[in-house]
Amino acid sequence: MGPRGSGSQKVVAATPQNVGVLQVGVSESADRRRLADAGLAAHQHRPTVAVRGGGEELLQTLENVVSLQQLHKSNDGTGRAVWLLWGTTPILPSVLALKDLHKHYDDVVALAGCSLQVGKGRMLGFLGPNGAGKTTAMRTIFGLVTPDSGEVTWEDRPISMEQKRRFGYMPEQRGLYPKMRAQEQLTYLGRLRGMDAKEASASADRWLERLGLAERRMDRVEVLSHGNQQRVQLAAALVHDPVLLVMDEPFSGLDPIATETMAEILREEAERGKGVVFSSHQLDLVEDICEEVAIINAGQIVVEGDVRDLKDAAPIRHLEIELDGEVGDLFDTLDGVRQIRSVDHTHTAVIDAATDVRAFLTRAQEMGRLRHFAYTTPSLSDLFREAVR
Amino acid sequence: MSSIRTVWRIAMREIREHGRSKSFLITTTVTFLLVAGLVIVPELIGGGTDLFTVGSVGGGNEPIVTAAEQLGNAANESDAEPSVSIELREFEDRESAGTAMDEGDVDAILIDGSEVIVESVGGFGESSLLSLLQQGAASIELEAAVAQGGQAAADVIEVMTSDPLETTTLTGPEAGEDTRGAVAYAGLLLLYLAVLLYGNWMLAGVTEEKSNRVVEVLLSSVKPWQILAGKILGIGSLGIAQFAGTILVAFLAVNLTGAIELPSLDVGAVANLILWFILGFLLFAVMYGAAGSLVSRMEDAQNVAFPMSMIAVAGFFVSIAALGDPDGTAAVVGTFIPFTAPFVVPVRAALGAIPAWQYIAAVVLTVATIVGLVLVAGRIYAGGLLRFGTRVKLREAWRSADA
Repeated sequence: MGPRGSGSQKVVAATPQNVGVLQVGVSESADRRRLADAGLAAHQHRPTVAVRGGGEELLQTLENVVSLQQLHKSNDGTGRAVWLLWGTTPILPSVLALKDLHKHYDDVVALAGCSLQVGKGRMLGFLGPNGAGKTTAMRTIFGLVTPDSGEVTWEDRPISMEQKRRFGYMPEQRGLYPKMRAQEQLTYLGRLRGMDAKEASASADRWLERLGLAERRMDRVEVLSHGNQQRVQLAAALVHDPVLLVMDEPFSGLDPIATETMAEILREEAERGKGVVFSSHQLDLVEDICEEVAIINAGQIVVEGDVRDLKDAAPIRHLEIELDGEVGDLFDTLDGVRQIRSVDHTHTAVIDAATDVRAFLTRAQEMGRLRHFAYTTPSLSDLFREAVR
Repeated sequence: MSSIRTVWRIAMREIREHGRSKSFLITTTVTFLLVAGLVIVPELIGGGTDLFTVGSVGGGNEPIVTAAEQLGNAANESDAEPSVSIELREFEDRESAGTAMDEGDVDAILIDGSEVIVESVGGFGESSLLSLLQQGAASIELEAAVAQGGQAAADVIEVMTSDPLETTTLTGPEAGEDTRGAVAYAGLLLLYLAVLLYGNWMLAGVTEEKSNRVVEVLLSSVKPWQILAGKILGIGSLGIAQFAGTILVAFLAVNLTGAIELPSLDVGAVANLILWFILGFLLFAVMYGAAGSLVSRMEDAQNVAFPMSMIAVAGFFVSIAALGDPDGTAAVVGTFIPFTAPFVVPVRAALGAIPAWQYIAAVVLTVATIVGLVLVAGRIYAGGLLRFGTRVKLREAWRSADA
């Protein structure tokens, strides 16, 4: 299978327990075009759902469905129809689960009841301050760390070596054989995960091509530039077409172009139905590419969920105005102001989420020329700071 | 994918990557040249005739030189090339002969059959020449002293220069003790070097994977023991190929020069060496592999491997002792200690000085030790691999591995 699936491919065939028999297709390009035509953006865990006749009733049984829209009905006589589902509950099942993991080293507690789920076709940003337990948690997935208690499961079963070989891993400390040629190294790693020689070699070439390293394929890794070594490292995690990608700080040390490539590939892999979990300190980036985050602090998950939902649920909002002229006592009339910062004509306030700002907007317009007005949910950075305080 | 196939793929990588590395190609070439040189060079310099030139001033010198030459060649077979050949050169007087000696044209000067001048006493070539000349002169004097005249004195010299005792070897005439000893010594040296060399490959290979962190990628899809086994298999195969190649080169060199009679390098001797190479390599490779997993930096690797290197050195010295006294206490004790057995047993076997039961017991003990070490070292290896930074203590590695 290539790094990019064909347009007609339905990647995931799953049976969510709360839905009954359904074929859930993560939107591929063709479906996404239809979604775009309908004026809607596709999200991985709010997927299009293809059902055979009677699907509508079935879909009605889903919990927390916000809206249901039929996108098209097939004419092929199979009764297959595509629906767009908006809901707050992801209907794709989690396949990877970390359940109540505890781990300590001597008197250092690394994990203190860490629980986490990753689903097929979902991209989870795994955040947390240094030493919070991100790497330890990720290592438990591969058995590199054995937890003192708790378990890690894939599709509700303990993870076997055979299953592990179908996962892709990029450790925080990058590691490749420096003296091995890029292509041979990738082929070797593919073969260690059970591919045959031809398959592994073809996949290695495909990834090198995709990452712009086709001409360096026979170079020793040690002579490649830092950025190119990172690309080979990414290919090493992907060469065997894993069903789950676990990446520890994949963006650290990447230049903006490489960051973009990495983000694009992770997104593609998620869209192809892979589970993707990656840790990062680049919160803006995570906010851009992930719908879901989990924040770990002191070995425990303290925040977990859909970024948008988390932001909506946050008790604060950001209010920003740029006003020609004096603001005077404008902000005094606003309820629930927690913090104000003024630079020249720009004023930023953190206010309670419950505060109604419509009256404030009207008054601000009366005060002078209002150049800019923004009322936003807090950024992921704000949520993060709040969560790990 | 089966475990065997995983181990095989790891082994194949080791063979391919090591096999085409510069260091492998260089050590192979150097070893082959060294071994060929060791066989050929002594043959070139050792077998020839020592040529001396003796300056002669006055008369009465010629009989002394003739007698000295006879004495020097006394131990040779009658049809053999002479070991000593002395040329006599006439000089007018002491001074001209002395000048020739200064210029290095003559090695000694005889004057009137009663005085000998040498550059110094105790020099390498001169002393043997001097003693030959002294003995020659003594035999001339003996000749003069024996009243009956020439024939009786000639008989005396004849008696003095022949071997009065008949020599018989206990092991039979087909292979001389010297030849067997040489084969045993060469084999021991090869074994020792091979165990250290390939043991260090293991050490470097394991530490390298740890220092460049590729081990974390590997361990995400492969079990620790599979990496250890694959490495041992791969490096061991290369080692055996190189070792067997070295023996082949030695064999060819011996064949070409005729330095050692061929029957002494028989199949049994080679099989003995290869068996103990495999056992010795396995024993040390497992230990070196476990040691390598304890450190994250190449600089620390030699320190952690020091005890193993000391064991190998100890084994080497015990077997040197065994070479001199293959039935001695050291040799027998060394046979039953699995860490010295790989060095001691092949030496004793090559000398034909080990009872069958001891040989078998040594093999069994060594194999049992290897099996035990695989279990212990495998766990240390598994526990040490993912603990980066400072050197991991044995106990920590043992504890952090999953039983």
